[in-house]
Amino acid sequence: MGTSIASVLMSFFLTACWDKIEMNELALVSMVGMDSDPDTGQKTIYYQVVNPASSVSAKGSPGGDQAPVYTYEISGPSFGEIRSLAYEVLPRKLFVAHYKAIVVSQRAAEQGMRDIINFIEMQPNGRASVPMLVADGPLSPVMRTFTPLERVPADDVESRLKLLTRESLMVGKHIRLKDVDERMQQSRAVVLPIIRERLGNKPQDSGARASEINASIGNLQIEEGAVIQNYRMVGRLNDTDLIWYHLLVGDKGKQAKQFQVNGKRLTLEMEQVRFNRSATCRNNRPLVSIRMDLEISSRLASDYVPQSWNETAQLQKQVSQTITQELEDFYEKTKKKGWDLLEIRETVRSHLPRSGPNFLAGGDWNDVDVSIGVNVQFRRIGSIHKL
Amino acid sequence: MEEDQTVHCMYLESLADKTVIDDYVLKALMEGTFLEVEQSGVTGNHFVQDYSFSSARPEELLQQAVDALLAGQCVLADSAMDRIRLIHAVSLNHRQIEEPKSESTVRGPHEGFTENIDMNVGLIRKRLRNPRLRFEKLSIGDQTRTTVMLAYLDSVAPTFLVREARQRLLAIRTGSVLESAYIEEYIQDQIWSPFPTMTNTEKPDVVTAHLLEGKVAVLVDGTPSALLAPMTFFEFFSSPEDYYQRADIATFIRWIRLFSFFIAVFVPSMYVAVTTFHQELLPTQLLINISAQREGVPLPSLTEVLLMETVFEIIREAGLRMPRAIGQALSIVGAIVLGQAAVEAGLISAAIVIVVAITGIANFVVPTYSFGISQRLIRFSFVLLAGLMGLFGILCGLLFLIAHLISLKSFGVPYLAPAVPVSFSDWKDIFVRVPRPWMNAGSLPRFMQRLKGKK
Amino acid sequence: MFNSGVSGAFTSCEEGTGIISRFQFFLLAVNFILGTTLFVQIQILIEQGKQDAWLMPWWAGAFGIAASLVWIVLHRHYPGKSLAQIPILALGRPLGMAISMLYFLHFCILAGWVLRNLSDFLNGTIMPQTPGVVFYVMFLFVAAFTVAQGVETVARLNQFVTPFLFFPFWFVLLLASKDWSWDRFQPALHTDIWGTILHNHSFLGFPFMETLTLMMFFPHIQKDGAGRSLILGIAAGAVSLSLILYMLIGLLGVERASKLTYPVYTVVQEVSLGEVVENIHSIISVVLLILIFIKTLVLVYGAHALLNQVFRTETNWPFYLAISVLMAASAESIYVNPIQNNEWSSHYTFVYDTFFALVIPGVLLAATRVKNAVQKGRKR
Repeated sequence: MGTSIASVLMSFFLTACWDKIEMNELALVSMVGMDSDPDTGQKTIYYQVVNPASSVSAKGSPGGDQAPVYTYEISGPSFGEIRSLAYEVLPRKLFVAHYKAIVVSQRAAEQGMRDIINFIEMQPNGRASVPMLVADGPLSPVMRTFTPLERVPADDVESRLKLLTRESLMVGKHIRLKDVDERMQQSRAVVLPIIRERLGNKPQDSGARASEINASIGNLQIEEGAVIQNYRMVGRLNDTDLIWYHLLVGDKGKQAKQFQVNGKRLTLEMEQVRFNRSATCRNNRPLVSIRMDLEISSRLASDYVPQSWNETAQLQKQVSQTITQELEDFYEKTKKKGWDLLEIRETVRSHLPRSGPNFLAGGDWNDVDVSIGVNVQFRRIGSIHKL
Repeated sequence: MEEDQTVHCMYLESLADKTVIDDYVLKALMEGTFLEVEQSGVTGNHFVQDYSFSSARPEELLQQAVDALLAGQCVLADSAMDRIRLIHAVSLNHRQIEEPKSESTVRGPHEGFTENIDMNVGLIRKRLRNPRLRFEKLSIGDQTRTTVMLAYLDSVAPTFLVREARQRLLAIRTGSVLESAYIEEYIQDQIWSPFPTMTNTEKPDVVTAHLLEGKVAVLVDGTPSALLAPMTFFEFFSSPEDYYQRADIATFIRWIRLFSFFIAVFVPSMYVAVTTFHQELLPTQLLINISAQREGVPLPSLTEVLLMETVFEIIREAGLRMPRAIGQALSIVGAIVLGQAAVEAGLISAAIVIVVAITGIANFVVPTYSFGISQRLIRFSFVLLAGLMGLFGILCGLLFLIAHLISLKSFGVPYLAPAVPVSFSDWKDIFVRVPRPWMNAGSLPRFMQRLKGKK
Repeated sequence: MFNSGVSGAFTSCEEGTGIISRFQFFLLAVNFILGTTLFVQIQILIEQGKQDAWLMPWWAGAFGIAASLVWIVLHRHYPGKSLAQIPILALGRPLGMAISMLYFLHFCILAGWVLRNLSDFLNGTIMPQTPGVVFYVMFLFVAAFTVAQGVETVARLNQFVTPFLFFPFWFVLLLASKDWSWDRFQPALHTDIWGTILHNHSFLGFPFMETLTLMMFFPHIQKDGAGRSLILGIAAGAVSLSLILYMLIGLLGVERASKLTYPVYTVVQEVSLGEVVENIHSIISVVLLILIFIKTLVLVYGAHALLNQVFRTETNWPFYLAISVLMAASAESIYVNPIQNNEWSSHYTFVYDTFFALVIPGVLLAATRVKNAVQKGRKR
């Protein structure tokens, strides 16, 4: 009796494991692109799927006839519906756990990204900690470009973002989808990198791309920044503005920039080591003061190196003045456009909870004073100390 | 004897030699010829010892009788003659003398020690027929009461050394001594050093050679391993075979051993340091090859090296306990599957397998097994340092190691002698093995001579 | 009885034991002088002396030897005592302790310089991203461990590593000499070297005046060999510096060498061993770091021994920790950028070092003479 009950119960296992799926039945998505047509309301998702048969392994890299990735374009009335429509073109089960970047088209960003963000966050096995980029113009050229050196374009983009974050001030750390979500909910602004396809005669297949020596044509380019406020893209920042923006937000990276000092041009590498932003009340008005400490080094200077302590002190003062002026100009520019890129609202709210609401309710930028202080210290010299 | 007397004859069957007792004692008792073989009047007679009932308290007599029984002797309690007599009838059960498995040589004697300490003493005595060869007997371990012998050549060994060794042995307070390693841990100079300051050997000719150099040996009953002290760093690289072969090949082999030590300790960490911090050190072509190999590999170099080293240690440990029948299958599994297949599956890069294999093989070149253990421990810390700070980390680790080795002493002898403190005359047996006529076999090495001056 | 390295941290330093041989002390002096000089001072010397810069160490060395005579005479008055105890004996406990503590701070500041030079060098050449603190902590840890094993270990370590410094460095320099050119020395012997030295007096102070730190080892040297070994060491250090400058001028030329921040590194960078091994500068830089380590080691020993002898400490490991923290902090804050350091050095190094190396020992010597004279007068 006991054995027969056991055998009946064991037959449950004959129905096959419900969630079991073999690895080669998965479509390994590496990059996701999301677009939305403002006129028809039609949503499009681009899935860039990795082709495992053509990836690099210890046996060496394969020949040119298999593409490293394939881009599938699926359209539907809403993002959720696309999930069901996906298998009209996709032969394998969608597996988004290892995707590395999300690209949003410019027109979708300008309409509002709230549903995009919610859709991504809703996925049970798609993380929200992937970087988000905005495509310059239409999305399909970006999703249909091969990259040299790194065969999978998503790896290329991910590694570029990492290097840009570390070696320059053009890209910040908080460009992940979850950062965007958090900041939009707090009514703050965020700047996402813009990705575009470089113009020129694009190689038509991955083999031609792999054998083309000119790495500049038919490649992806990450530059400039898209300002996102209230879930919408409201404007752009060029490369110089990006540097000032990241300084004002407190990103601790380094950046080489050419300065004009005493009529001489000098390329200095600056690095932010300390950043402090607070709000106090002065003359019944909130005052937001931003203080930053920068260390400059002449490691990359091939034009001029200061020789004495006096020259160094002068250099420090002038660089500090230049940067402060540029930062204030940047603030004025963004104030005119109505962007709160310096997070003034947030600072007032957290430091002056009582008097803050008056300003927050009123919302006039001229009611807040902003003071920016930059302290520059010359710290390191490079391999050449005299020119 | 007219009336019937009762004599109790007690012995432990597992320890005493029944034949001797039957032939000698019982026969003598039954034939009544016992009185004639009394020799207890001779002092220092260990074969037969008498204790009269009134000579000591009953508890002490009982204790002595129990001790004697446990030592394998036969106890005769003779109430008529008012004494107990202890007769030394211990059976010498021992393994056959055979070559020790871990110290086999191509040329030279193949005898090894056994578990019986008297046998071992005999093996040494027959090689060193010098009346100044002393064996001091001690009993260490409250529970096991193991016999331990301290051996030295009285005319050659420095007094300071012998006294130091004796003091340390007498200071041991422990319950059990089952192997010479127990004693080694008590009397060694430094508990926390990964480097051993004493060596152990199972060959009597090695012990004899060291005794002739003025060292002390510690023999432990129940184990064939004998301890030798003091030992310096460079002496771990010499094996007895060096002296049984020609001088030129022996010198070459010594250099190979020293070189293998450096390989075993530094190659993995140098690999990690060079491939992750200082790639410019590699020749261009090698750099391109290695980075092509690493293209599809998921793990960073440091993790790969640590992982493969751990796997190698697991294979080595498994190989020790493996029954001989499966040993072959294991070598196939280990070599082919874990090495080659892992590379082809893209789990590790091919260069790592080479690095780990060379390191593992170089590890076994050093003749003393306990020294090989220290290499393994140091190797892991160097790999971690290299992964953290590259060549700078290796430099700091190396300076730390050198400082430790310089300050380490083995029974008063500096561990790095004769490199530090420098004495060039000793280099003729460390970095080269000069032919025997030049070796000046009569005098001690300088570092032992310095011990003679110590009080 | 059982010598344990760990217990070395818990016992006090041995006093007056004669366990360092003269040769070991000589090597210690040479390595101490070469220490950070190869990294910091070399390009300044070439800039100032031009093609005759290799003569400058001769003058500076002579000055150093003259200064060391003062210390040796002072030591003769107090055999077996080190720099920490002499002020106390000469001037009495309160004033003497103040002067000893002054020396302690001097050692810490010197160590701060040394460590900061180390991190500047490593950050500027082979490891740019690593924060400097890591270098300080690692070197100080190893130095503290070595000092905890005793002064014998310090001297022996130096003796052991010296061949590994000496031979690779000169081998590489010789390999580099395929770029040698005698023209780089023309015109020779035209510059007024003594005038240059007087004008750039910082070289007189650093590194030769800093060898005062070696006075902490005097009690441990065998059989009164301290004086001669020190003088020989200073002379050998000066000769080595001169040779290195000579090689650098011949290999790089005056213009290029005075432009580069680390000419030794650049020379090594351009050396190739055949065609296989091209970039060995990492290994050679790391080998040269041993010189900086020796200097750190001597300074850590000096600082620790001073505290030990003035205050007769029992448990030592808190002192090692405190000295390490002090030295690391000093390294972090000692100067803002190398330009400031160079400028300060060119004005004040001579005065600063001479104060500690000549003025105070001179005062102590005078006090000792006065004391002896008074005592002799009292005896009569």
